[in-house]
Amino acid sequence: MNTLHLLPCMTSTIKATALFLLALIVQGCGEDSQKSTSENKTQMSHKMATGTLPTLSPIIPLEITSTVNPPTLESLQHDFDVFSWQSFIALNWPANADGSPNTNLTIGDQQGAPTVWQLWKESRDIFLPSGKKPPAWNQKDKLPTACQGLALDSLPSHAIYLTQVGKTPNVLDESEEPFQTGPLIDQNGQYTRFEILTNETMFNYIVDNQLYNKKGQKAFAKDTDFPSSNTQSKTVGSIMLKAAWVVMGEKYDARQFHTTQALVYNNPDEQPGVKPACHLETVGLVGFHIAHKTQDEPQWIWSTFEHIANAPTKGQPHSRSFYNYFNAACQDCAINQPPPRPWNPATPHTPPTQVERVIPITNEVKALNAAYHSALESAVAGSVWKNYELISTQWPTNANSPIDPTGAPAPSFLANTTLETYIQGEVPQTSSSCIGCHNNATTTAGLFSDFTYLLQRAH
Amino acid sequence: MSTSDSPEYDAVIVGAGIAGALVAYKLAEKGKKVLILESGPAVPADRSGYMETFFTANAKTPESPYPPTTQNPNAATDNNPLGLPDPSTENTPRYTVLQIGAWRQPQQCYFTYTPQDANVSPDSPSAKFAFASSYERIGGGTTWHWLGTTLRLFPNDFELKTLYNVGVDWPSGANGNTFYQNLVPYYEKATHEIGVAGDKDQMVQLYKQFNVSPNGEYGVNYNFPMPGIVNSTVDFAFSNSITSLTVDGNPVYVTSTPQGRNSLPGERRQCAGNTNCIPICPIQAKYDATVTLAKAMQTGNVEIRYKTVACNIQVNDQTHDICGIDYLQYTEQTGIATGKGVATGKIYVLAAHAIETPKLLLMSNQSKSFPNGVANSSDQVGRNLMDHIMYLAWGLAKDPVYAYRGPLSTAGVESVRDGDFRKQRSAYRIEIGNEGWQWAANDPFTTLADFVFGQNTSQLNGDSKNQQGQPLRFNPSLPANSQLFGKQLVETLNGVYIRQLRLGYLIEQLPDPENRVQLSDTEKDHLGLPRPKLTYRIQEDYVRNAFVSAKKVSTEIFNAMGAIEYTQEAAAPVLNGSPSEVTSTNFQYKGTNFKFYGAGHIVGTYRMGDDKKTSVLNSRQQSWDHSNLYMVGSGVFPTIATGNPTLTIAALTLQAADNMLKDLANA
Amino acid sequence: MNTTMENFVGLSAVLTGFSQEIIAPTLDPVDIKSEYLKKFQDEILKESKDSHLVSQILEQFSTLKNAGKSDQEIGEAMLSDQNTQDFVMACRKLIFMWYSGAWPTISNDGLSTSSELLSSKSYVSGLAWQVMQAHPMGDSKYRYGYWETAPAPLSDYTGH
Repeated sequence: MNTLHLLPCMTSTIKATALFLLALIVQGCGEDSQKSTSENKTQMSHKMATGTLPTLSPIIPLEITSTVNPPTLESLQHDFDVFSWQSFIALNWPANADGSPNTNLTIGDQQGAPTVWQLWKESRDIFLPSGKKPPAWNQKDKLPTACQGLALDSLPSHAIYLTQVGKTPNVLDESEEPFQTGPLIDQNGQYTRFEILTNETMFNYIVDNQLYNKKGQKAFAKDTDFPSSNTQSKTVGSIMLKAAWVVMGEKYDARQFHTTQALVYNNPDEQPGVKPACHLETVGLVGFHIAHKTQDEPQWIWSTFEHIANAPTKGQPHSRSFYNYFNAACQDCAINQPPPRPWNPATPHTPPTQVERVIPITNEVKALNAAYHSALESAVAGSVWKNYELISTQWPTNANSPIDPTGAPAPSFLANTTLETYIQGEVPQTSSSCIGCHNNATTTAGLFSDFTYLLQRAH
Repeated sequence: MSTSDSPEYDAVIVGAGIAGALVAYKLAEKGKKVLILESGPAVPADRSGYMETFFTANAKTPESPYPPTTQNPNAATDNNPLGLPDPSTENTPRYTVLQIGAWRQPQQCYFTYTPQDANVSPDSPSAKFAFASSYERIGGGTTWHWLGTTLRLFPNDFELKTLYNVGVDWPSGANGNTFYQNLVPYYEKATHEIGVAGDKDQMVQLYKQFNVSPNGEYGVNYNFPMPGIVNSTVDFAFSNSITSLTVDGNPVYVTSTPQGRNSLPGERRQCAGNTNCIPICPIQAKYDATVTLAKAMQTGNVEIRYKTVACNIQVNDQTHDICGIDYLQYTEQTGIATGKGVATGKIYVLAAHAIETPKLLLMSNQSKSFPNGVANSSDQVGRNLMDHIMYLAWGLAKDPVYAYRGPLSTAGVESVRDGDFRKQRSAYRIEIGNEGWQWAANDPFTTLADFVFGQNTSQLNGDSKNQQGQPLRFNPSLPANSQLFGKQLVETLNGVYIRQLRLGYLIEQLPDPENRVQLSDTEKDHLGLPRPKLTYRIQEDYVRNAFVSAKKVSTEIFNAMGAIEYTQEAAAPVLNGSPSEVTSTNFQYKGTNFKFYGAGHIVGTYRMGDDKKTSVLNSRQQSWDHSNLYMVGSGVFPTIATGNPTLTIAALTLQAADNMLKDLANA
Repeated sequence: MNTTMENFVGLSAVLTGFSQEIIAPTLDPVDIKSEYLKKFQDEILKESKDSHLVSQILEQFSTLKNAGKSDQEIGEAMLSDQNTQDFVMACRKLIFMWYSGAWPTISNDGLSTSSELLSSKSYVSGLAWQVMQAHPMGDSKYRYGYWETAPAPLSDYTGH
């Protein structure tokens, strides 16, 4: 008979600290990140734990490292959260021009320089309107016409397009929102911008199988099965990212954000009435999803990070004087409500969205965030990455269930206030659950697309 | 209280359901300025609120997710066991399925009814019944809880009087075409606006059978925007075993139902088979009017005022033109009115469905020229109320069919919808249910309670026999009233649930001027507006004959499948008695007791016609009495025909919108 | 020495005919068992006015289990009329709650049952949906077209 754990969801602070210390050492032990439940490792952890900060590494973990044997829901949640932070660190490592991590630097050096993931492939460069084969991994498709008139010579090579406005453009795609629930308006009255990227493994699979257009997807004629990370061969599997950016200026202090130069593009394909327009802007990162397909998690591991000043938590006291998406002075602002239509990013000023986090960040995650913030500060004093926090990690507790293709995700619900603003909550089917929603994703031919809505963008 | 100084709009629309949203979108797309008055709350950004209400509702009726609350268990009393709210305390009460049983109790039921005659015999044609269908008063309207069936009507459906000498014909067509020929291009447009998934080949087979056109093509561009929704394991059980049957000369075969839900991903998700189209699709794979409403709002030419109840239509007594619509506003469902005003436009469009629209017209009786209500010189407003009255049949298949999976219905028998028999009895289509006995017997909970507590409500756990005399105990080796646990409970429940079958017959009710919506003299809602007063009968043997046919055909179908029929004979009607004693939808015919159900298809109360003396609207869906007043929705149907109405509502509305654009261009 | 929760889950598994790994898995992000245990304790106390009944039921289960009785023997002993009516009815109501996510009330004549749902979580956790090899109405985790073919075998749903 299995031992049933009776721990309540919220363990005490002492318990959280203990888990945190365990985590530190495991991180220190294994950049190979082999999944391990070894008793030895756990014992060693206890000896080495005190006073050690998490190691900051440019290597993307391939699997979680289990720290408790037998594992419990709480111990595994912790292990997945560590995996999330390790992934976040590696992806935000300063990049060389070829996209590899610059190991001469550490995370937080050269603030504003491109990070590893920013050189990944944007969705607009994969699914071309012509349906043609996309340019090679390290090449861009041509700019939207509206952006071509800009003085792009002055652009840094890492400038990105942020072509998406609102949660769901005019096609249901890989964004986390199941419905066209609307744009997210910042405190300057401007639309928040989004982009979606894949790593090279995922991109290659799409190209090799000609999934970049409708014709290829029809010919493929089976369920999509993206490559998983593999700890034996030490190969990185499929990873996809979604980022939310706020345009800097006025109320936003660029020093508080990871920033980049971007061509902010108003995409006429998003909504009727939107005219193509393009501006070169400094934008700051406010939300970040990482989805990583691993060997033991065919439903993918879903990590989500946010800027620490995004929004207060519902029912809790406000800890900040300024929030990116909340105005304490506005007493009668409706909470988590999109602006009325028509939606158009060219609108000079839209009343800001009043955002609250609905599901609080757990004490365990808060403790882990504090540990990583200490490590980031210790690596680079004043590191901007201290301004980012893990919200949680969703993972399958029963990945191989014969009756539940979602693998019974934990936690059951997970939302990023900048990416699933309007569907936060705990109602089955409708409230944000990464795995729950993405389980319904298909290709344009209507076949299962392996937890990504990205393939629906094909023309 | 604020009064309106609103600008004049090109069009003022009452109601934000599918008809109102389509008019708004089509007008606004052409640059017209539109104002919509919607009595209910706004479309929520996130349907989680409705879903949470649905999940926790004890009775998962079609209206259960939506405001105002259908049921408050804490308010239950001996006299009000369901805890139904008092409609007089609500600003937008509406009729719900739970109110049917309380139809004679105005404290629990929004509709009031004309009294039953004294000493009515159980089989009297003049017996009055409760109306059996409901609707919503919220942004997006009743499409929130529609099934999604998008069948076209047959040409013969439009000519019932000419061909079969019953009912009435639809209006004659213009430009040398029949009415239906003029409607065909709009069926095309409606099919694309809704986004219908359909199997063209199967429909062509049907159209050939009924000689719609020699090659079965229904219009020049006839096709569906998406491939048909795949059939269910339940459908296959029927399609494999019933083709030897005939009904009144028609062959019996199963046809995939064209449906307004995504078989491919589009702007909304692909259907995931949540088996919950009614009351609410959790992932909006099913089209609803909020889709069109969003497109209308995106034009920037549409303003919508929610929680705004139209209460009077003003008429210019000189020109007879409509010159304004008075409205009341509220903030809380049970609170006081918080605003009022007058909406003015060049044209006015009523799209408040077939109960609230005639109610509004009848309430608008201030004009000297129209003392019986606006647009009512014919005295037809509110009359000819119809529904597809339904006969339900259910059974247990010999082998597993795996019910409770997929959309609620994915196929039906369409091959019996037309024929010479329509001179003698109503036509029907047969819908195949994928939801086991959920509708028929409130399963899985009824069977569960039976085998846990030793009851026999389902007839599976006792000494029940069916109407053909077959014993119904599921496992004859178990005693009656078994109380099971563990493995035996698992095997018994599984054995029952995975074999459950359900058929529903959508019977064509005839237009009967005595079946009507009037205003209650005594009962009001919380805004002080009169509530509907209904009279509802099934007077014609023609309609009752269809119940006899449906009953017989069900038994033949179940026999052909080797299934055991569990259809329970209805209780004898109690027509005279105290409000808590009387039955609501039971009638007797030729010695058999029947119970009818509602299909949710409310039709006929402001019908179109060729003659202004016998119809409310002309074939342009324009009031005979007021040239700048249009009405859309199923209230315009002269007959209810043999298909579910929403696709036809959409097609007619698109046609009417073109008429409005012409009028606005000429104005 | 078993905890209250262990006995509650063990008894629930025996009575429902589902395996513990299905109704209360080791890794249990849904954790419906906690909601059910509390409801069971509250309602049985309210209905029986016997503050010991629940612990008595769980202890009797524990005794039978520790004596090595089979699931069938345990179930028969728990529902035997050797026990009080309240004891047996509590066990039957427990079955109903696990299957429906609702707490039942038997009509005065004993012929019918009404029930009240605990929560949205309990509704979607109802074992009735599992025993029919389907999914809660309104909460499918399957994908387009699954209804075209037969589901996974019953044993995958019950864990036995």
